[in-house]
Amino acid sequence: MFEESGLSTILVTMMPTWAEQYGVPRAVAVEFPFGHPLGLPGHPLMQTAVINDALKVLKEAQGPNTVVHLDHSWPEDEAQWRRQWQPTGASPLIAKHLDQIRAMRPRTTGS
Amino acid sequence: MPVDSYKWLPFSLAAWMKKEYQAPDGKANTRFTPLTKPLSQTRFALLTTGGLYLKGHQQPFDIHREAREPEWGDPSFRIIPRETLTGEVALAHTHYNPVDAEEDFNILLPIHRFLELEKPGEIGSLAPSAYSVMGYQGHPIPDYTQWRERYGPEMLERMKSEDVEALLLTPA
Repeated sequence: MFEESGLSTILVTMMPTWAEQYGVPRAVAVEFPFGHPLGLPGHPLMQTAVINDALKVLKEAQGPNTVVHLDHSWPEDEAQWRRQWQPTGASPLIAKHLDQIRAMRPRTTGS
Repeated sequence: MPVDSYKWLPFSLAAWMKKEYQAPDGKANTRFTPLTKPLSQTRFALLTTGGLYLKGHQQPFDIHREAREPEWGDPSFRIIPRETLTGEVALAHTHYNPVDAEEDFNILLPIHRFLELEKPGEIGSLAPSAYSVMGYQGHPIPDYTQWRERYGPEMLERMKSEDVEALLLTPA
């Protein structure tokens, strides 16, 4: 919608697999927890670093479906953040499908 | 190193999402408008799916209806002015923890960072309006009708009226 109306867009995504499958004009991918596409709160230098990388791709991309994976690493404890980004209660969608989701757990030997 | 899209998800949720979310291949139809100006002459707008709204001034996104109808998500949008200060934004989104973005909304809608880029002329300007939607639009078939037919065109019209040329998109 935006590109066909003459705007140039740049996406910052944590899910490049979707962008690469569905197709996007231009994107940069960051391996950051959900809700944090530009990094940590109160860390303007980290946020600006991602923004500058995004603006570079916006400027230099030669055609559609340009997805550039950035190598910024998350500066805090990964195990802690696998939980910390999550909502305090399951979203209505997850709550509705919890049985299906739990059924995806790998079976342990003997069970 | 390629970014692992599923790194932060619990194993069972990642497996479920890989099964549930089979995006169609749309790459042949991707539209593309080259940026023809230098960044220093380009006017920007920002759009996030984080569910941000102005605390005390705007209605939150309707997460109560979403609780009753988990296959539905609020399609409306909120205008976040470029003058907005830290502490004036709250979030309504049930799919991630909003505390960090309520502390510093720039992690999702980087108004203050773009004002810092505008000041020395690294970008041309930041438009008066930034935009917030709540990204979850339903499952298993997201309903993008309202975005496509009503709210998308309304946002686009406002961007055009503010002479926006480039748009930074930040899904949550």
